[in-house]
Amino acid sequence: MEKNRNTLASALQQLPTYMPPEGLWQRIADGIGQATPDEGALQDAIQELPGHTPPAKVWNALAKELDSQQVRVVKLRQYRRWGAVAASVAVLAVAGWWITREPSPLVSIQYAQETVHAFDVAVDWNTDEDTFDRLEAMLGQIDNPVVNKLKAEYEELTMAHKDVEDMLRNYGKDPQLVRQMADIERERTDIYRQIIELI
Amino acid sequence: MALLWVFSLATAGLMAQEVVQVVTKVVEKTFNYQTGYEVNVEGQKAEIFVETWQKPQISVRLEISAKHPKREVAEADMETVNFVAQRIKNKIYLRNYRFGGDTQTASVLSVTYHITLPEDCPVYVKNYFGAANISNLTNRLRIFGEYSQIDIDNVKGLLDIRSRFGDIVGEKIDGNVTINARRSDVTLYEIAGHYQINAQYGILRLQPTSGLLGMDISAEKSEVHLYGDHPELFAYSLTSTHGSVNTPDNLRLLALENTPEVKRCNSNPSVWRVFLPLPSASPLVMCMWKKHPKGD
Repeated sequence: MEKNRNTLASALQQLPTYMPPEGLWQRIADGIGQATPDEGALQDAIQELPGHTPPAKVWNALAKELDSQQVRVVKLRQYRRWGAVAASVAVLAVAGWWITREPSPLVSIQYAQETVHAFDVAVDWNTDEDTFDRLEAMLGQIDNPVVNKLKAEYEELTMAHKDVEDMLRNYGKDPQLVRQMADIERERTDIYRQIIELI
Repeated sequence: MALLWVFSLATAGLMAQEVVQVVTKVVEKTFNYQTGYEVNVEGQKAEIFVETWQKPQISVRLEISAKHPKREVAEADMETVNFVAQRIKNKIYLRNYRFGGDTQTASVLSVTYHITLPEDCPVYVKNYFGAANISNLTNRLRIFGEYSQIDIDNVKGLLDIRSRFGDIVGEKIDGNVTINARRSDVTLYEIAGHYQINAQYGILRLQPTSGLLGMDISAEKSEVHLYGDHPELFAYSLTSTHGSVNTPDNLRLLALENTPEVKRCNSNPSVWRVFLPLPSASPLVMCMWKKHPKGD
């Protein structure tokens, strides 16, 4: 709280009051805008100031600048329009991709049991290889057209034997592979017999 | 003799029974189909089934299985089989592969593809061991099988089939067909269209329908058997080198050459009767073509 507040209030009330005479505000208003006696010299001085006309290029430059500002506005508007088009296209493309996208694969694991006949059969397909190796050594010394044809057949079957052997090792001892190996070995043995009969 | 011992061992092994754990990874994926797409399958010891449906989609269900008495072993071995199922531009690649080392895989691994697609979708199947079973296609089918059985049922269009050490069995095939078969038996029932067949070391059994327009067979060390109820629809040209041509008594062919080495004969259009069967040892070159409706 302010100290001696009462003293201040009573002092303010004791201040003298004055009322302005009537028409004072009107006179002030009328006086504004009328040249005062002192302004005469100022007006004379203004009349005597030298006048300058700017060269044409100034106006041209100004006009050009104004034009370029207008173009920029137009260009900005065009940019905005193309931006909107691009955004729409992008939205449509994303929507299209979303609709036509290929979903990632579903991967699941299943467990089951099976009863099989002798899962791991110990089969050695190469027990006859020594015999075949001896045959190859003999064939190296013979050059007969009939034998050569049989030899080519034999080599093809030996390659097949290796292919099946690789697959048996790679994908396990599948009964189907064992049957295929048996077929190839039968044919190979048959060719072996034919060659032996000839030499 | 050693081979016989092996068979005896295998037979003895068949007496035992064992429970094995089967772990299967199932991969399912659907591709949206557009005209111009091709499905390209490269299987390794895979059973591949291709069927058709009306939807514009290609659905793939790939199963990778491992069997072993111990589940952990089966699980670990199953994870060593890799697969690809993805579209690159207009080709949908489906593939499985395994980089095997020198050690024997403990489990028995197998892969199965079930592919369902629109009938006009071109298909290329390459399979190394395993089997392929394809039906109801109408556009283009290419198959390259090695040690793989190939079954084709009700397929039209352009067919290119190559096989080594794998048999081909087809039924209701119509179109332009090229077959190259080596050490593979080829059995085709109810066939129509144009055929170009090259075969070595195989047995060919062919049953043409009245829709057959032409067939060129070049067979080496092979047997060719033709079956049919209406042989009068066709004209024949046969050449056999170091082989023989056997025909039914009531089928007369004009002998053009008959030496111990070469036998060549043409059909005489005026004496067509029955035509069952026509086996031949090889090498053999045979052409048959559909006769003009008003003559031969």
